[in-house]
Amino acid sequence: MTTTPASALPDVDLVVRCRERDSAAWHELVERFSRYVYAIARAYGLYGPDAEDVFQDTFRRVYERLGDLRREEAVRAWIGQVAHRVSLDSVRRRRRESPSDELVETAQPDEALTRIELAMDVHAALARLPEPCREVLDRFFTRDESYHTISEELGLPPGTIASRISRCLDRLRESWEDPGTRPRP
Amino acid sequence: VLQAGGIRQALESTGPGEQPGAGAVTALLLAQVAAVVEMAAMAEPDWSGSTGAVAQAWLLRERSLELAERNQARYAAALAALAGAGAPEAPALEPALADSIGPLLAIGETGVDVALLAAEVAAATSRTRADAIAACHLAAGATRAIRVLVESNLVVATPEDARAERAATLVRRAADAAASCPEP
Repeated sequence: MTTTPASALPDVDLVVRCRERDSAAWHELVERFSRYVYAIARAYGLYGPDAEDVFQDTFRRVYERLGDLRREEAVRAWIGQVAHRVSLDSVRRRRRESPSDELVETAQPDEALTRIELAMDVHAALARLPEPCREVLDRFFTRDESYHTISEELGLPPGTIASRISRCLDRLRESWEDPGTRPRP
Repeated sequence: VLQAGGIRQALESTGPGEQPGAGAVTALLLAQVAAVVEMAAMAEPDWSGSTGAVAQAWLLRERSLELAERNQARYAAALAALAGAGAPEAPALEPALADSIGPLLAIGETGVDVALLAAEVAAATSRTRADAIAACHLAAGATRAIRVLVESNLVVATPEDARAERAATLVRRAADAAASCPEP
């Protein structure tokens, strides 16, 4: 019998495996959500060792309380709440230690958190797309490659790249609006 | 902007000596042309590629605006070098001119992309086809303008210089895209 690698598991199954104390699943969960947790810390103006403390403390609490999570599909939102509380505690602690700290004055987390949530949703929707679509969207929107560069790299006529990107954007929207839908190949 | 007669105001808002150079103007033109493509695609909501074309046009507009900024910074550095040419502490002119070529070629590449996208939109639209065709030809013209600037900034220009050849290739590609545009 073959076991699905942790990196290929959807969030729900990953949580189930983590509860069974599967160390590979736990490493995958930390890897999958680490950038999310760091992004939340940064939204509170926490960088360097402070952000690292938020990371460590958040995943320690997640590890200890994973059994309390009632809806596995809500794991991302739950980890986000934990990171949010840990970050807020850190900011308050620093405020007590250093009342004039500019950190407290400059932290505007709400808007940043909304952007992080949106970015995570898009990232997750992108991960559900077939590889050719992921690649063409990544090259155009993230790496700023031109149609000709993309066509040369993928061996496709340059005049077809724009329409290919449009089709892949449609699939991305489908994937984003309905995470349960398996995108067309 | 149009209703308020703002185009003249926008053009006249810069003081003497503050106007952008030809490279930045070309990039700004491309940003406007990409906006025309965006508008043309948006006017055809029944076309299945409309949303995707709008998103791509938006990205090309943003890319053009960033390149306008980058190019203007390099242009300013080249102007400073030119103004101080011969003075002992002045920055060297040749490297400053050479540095300006990278952003210029990137603008030319964006011009090809705008022309290609405009051609696709022109082929799929009816109500705004003329706008998309005009955008296609404007983008091709912008790429020709970039070639002129690249060649003039190559202090030691030789026929086999890869950057001159690159600019010529971009002109050919943009012309091909314009030629693929349907007739109005």
